[in-house]
Amino acid sequence: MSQRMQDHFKKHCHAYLIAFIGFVVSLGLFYALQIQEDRYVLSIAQLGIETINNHIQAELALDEHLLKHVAIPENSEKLSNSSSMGSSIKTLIANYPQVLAIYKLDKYNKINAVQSNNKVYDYVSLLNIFIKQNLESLKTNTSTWTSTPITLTPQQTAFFMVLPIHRPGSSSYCIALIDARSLIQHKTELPGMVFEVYLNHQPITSTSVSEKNKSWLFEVSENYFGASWDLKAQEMTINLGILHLISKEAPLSWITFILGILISLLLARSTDLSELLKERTIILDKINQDLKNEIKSHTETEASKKNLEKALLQGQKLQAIGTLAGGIAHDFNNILYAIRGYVELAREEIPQEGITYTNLGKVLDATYRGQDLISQILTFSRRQHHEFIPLNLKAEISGALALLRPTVPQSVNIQFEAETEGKIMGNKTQIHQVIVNLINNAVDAMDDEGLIRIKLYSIQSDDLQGLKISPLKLNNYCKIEVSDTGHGMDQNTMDRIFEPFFTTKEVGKGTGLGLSTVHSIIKDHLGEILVSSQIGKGSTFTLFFPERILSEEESTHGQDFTR
Amino acid sequence: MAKILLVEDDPLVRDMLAQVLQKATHEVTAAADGEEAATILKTTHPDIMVTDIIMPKKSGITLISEVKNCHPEMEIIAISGGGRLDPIGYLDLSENLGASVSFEKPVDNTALLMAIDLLLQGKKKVKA
Repeated sequence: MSQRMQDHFKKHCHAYLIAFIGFVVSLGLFYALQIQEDRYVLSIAQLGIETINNHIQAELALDEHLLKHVAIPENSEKLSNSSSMGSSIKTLIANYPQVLAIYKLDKYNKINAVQSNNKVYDYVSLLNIFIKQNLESLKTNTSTWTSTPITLTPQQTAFFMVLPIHRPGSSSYCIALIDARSLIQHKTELPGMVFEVYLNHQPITSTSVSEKNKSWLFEVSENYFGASWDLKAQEMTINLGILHLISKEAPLSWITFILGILISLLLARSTDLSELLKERTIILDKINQDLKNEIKSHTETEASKKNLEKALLQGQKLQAIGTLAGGIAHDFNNILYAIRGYVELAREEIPQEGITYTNLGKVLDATYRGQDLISQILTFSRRQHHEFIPLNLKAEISGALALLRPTVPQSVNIQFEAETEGKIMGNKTQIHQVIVNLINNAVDAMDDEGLIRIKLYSIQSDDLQGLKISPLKLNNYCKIEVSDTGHGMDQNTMDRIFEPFFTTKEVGKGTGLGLSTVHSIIKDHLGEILVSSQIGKGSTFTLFFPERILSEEESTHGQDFTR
Repeated sequence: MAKILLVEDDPLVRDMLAQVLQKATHEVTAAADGEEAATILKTTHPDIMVTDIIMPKKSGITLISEVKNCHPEMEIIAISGGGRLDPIGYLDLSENLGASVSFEKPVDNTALLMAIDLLLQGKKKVKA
């Protein structure tokens, strides 16, 4: 059996089992009913045969023996002695093989005793019919033998004979089953019984059988029991058989069989369906659950993404404000300085009592207010300076990349290698901003296809000396290289790349704040950012962050305090 | 009475400072940027240089480090307008490189003039 068939069978085994059991049961019922009917049909057929044969004999020329028994002479005692009835019957049966059985009936015409040589139970039903048919005569004619002519045909080998039993005060009878063949072959008389044999309505015997008749009987009997079956009778028998098979009783077994099959198929199907339903429900439940979980995690991801975007935007806004403020602060301070200086110069030339002197004093006050304002803005924009926490650059970069990956085209390959954990002090949002900005710039430079490589190393301060960065006090640095395979930049662009509002992108495509923000952030983190590029090959941004000094707990227990 | 080289890129501030210094009896030579200043320094020897830090072309820091080698006796006063980067860091740096004093704009001119006087007198490092 192929695997598929095996699986199919396993899956539907309950249904198949029920169908099989149903089939077996239906078949059993079918046969049971058939057998019953067969028996019945057989009985009916036999009776039918009798009935038909009784009719046929009138139409067909049959060799027939007409047996007629005459009344037992009144002085016969053998059978009328009730006390020796039983033994007489036994003797009768024992000595006379012609008598197959004696049926004794009670007053209700029910058989209550059977004596027999052989098993002749098949005749019981026929006997009942015989009794029914002859009931009237049995009731009324108990004192004399009935002299009903019994016609025998080739198929009929036995017949019933009523034997009245005389008892003082009552009378009853029994019925003998006589083997006609035996009777004809051997003897035509039984003790107390006389048989007359007629052939074609002509008596051929009288009270006793003569030798002549005996031989004739043998002839006849040979003839009789030879091969001359009446074909028509046989035909009719067969037809009768068939007739009965398709009579109103016969289809019962067929109907039962078919109904049984249908019911078992229905049961099988419903079992199958209910199991399939169970299976499907389980699968659907699982799918449902999976979907729910997916929705949940998706919602959570969306929420956290939104939060981060918000924070990034906020941070970016603040950075922009800070940059703006920082940008104008320089000029603004110059302006305030100039105003103050000139006003002071002017005040020195006029009398102090005059209103002009006072008014100019008010102008000076205004400049002090302006100065406060500017320093407030600058303080505000630099406030994040002080909100540094221990960070792990490797984790932060990975986190930022994970959020970025879906927004970056599939055709852009992003590789991240980290040689160190990158422990620094910093602002989480700002570091994310840096990565996001650098990656987005790289993607734009590559026109949506290429490779971005990010590498994180740890380096000693000695290695920095060759580079043009301001000397800083801390020992080790984390170095991040972000390189792309984009169109690259020329020297002019590189010189101005960190300027706020400087952009190489078309109007509307870039604010020009990205890299200047990055630059500010790096500086705030006491780090440095350098850029190198080759037209047509790509660009590399190198970031340096000072490593944080591990707290005592961190260095001794190796705990990670980053979030 | 000192010879002062004023290096300042903002014209308003430059003019105003020049007036203020001149009114204080000093001789002022003004330069708009570091390059001009460098050129002037080739031919003159001011007593004091008052210079802005953040300037185009040559930054004040570079100017300071260059000048300090060629004119070691010259006192340097650094002023800065602040900006997107930490002004204090820069001023610290300029002091580390050789500026005697540093001020944040807008500067208190009285203090500036006092610093000039003191430097003239002592030619010592004074923190304003």
